Amino acid sequence: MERALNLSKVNRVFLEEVKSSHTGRTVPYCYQCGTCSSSCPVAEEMDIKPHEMVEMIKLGLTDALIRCKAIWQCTTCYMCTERCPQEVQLTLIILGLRNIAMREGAVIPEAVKESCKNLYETGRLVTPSRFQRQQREKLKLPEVLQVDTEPIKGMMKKTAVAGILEVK
Amino acid sequence: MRYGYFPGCYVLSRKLQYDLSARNVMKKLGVEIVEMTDAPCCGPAIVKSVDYSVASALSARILAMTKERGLNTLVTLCPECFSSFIKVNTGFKEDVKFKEEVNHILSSTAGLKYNGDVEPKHILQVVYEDIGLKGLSEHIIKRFNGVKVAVQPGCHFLRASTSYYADDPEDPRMLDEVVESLGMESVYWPLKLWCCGAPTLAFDRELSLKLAGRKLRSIKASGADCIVTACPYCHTQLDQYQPMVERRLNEKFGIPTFLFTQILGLCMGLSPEEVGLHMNRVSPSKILDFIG
Ligand code: SF4
Ligand code: SF4
Repeated sequence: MERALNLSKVNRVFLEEVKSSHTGRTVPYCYQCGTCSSSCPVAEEMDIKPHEMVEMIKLGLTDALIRCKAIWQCTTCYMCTERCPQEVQLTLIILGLRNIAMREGAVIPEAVKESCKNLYETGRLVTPSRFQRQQREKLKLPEVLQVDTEPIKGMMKKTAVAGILEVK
Repeated sequence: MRYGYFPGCYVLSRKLQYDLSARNVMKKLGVEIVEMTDAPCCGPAIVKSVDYSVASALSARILAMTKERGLNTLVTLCPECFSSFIKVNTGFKEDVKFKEEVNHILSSTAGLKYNGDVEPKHILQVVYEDIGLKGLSEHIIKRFNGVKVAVQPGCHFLRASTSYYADDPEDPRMLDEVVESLGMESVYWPLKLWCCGAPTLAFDRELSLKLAGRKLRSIKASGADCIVTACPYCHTQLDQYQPMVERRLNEKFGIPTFLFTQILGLCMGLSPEEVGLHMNRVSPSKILDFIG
């Protein structure tokens, strides 16, 4: 990643957009102490460190953020959120960045596509295979009932992945 | 005690030993469960990555279904489901706009409303808080005396305590006290609070297995004989993928890994079959010699 600040790439409405969402509402409280990054189990692998993400939101460096690898390397372990002295909910902020990345069409990871298709079709992320159904029966575990998928279909159609759902 | 029972998609199909052992343990403890096997996905991290509000509406739908069945508490086995439910409740309290947004999605798609008034409970809390260690001791007929165990509670059960407080997030004791009441010794290991890597498996497999490897190394160095966890995903990383991690690191671990309900069930007199021990990947035989 290019470390020098390129002001021609600043998106001035980005901070407002993030701040007004449920996931991003704690962004303004960050004072850049770096506790999050020093508590993060994957920070050393990340191209943009957790504390840098927050500052980049404030600076409006949208493009670099929604295209970075780091937002997908986060394990959502909530360690940063736990230790932040300012109660910045950084895990939620990163999930929010993923939402924006998909909405802006920057990326839709293969794993997400697959999970969303399953969810759309069956109402579950994973469903028991035939073997697993037989195994449940053998163990006298109750049958896994079908989910009413209509509400889920309605919900998924509101999301950034709507376009990929009907194609099987 | 009468609770809605939501094992979660993952447990229902991929972690049958957790479903089985949890049901058998609760039956012995006299906890009455109401099936929720027709409930949808809880909206975990991968769905939150697509749309946080829609994922929350999925969680809220299950909580609303629970309420409709006349229940106030929903028991989960998976800390990820637990955290999805908790975060709807706390999110509703912290942010009214969010509550409205999620309810709007929920009513327009499922014709339901949710107020934030169903209590999600992880099964570890049912054992530790509702039954209690004293109540539990009346059901214990065998012990694993002297077995050293590395306890792995699961991130999403513990964090973040700024929104909810299940156990001490920096020094969790709940699961440790449960296994200690079964005669085991919970050992200190430096990476206990770290993520097992499961949530990144779908996005970055190598990173995910690297994180699992770090944990297994830390556990081995601590001298633990086995691992006990309350999370089905941690169980997969540390048990099912242990041989794969061993190959990548060219290092032998051979550490049996249990769901805590399996160990608990064995001490309550359930057979290895009744807690689904045969479905664990790493052979637990060297630990079973200790039970008595
Ligand atoms: S720990 Fe909190 S305040 Fe400190 S840099 Fe991270 S987000 Fe900002
Ligand atoms: S939630 Fe993500 S950014 Fe925060 S500590 Fe965990 S891996 Fe790092």
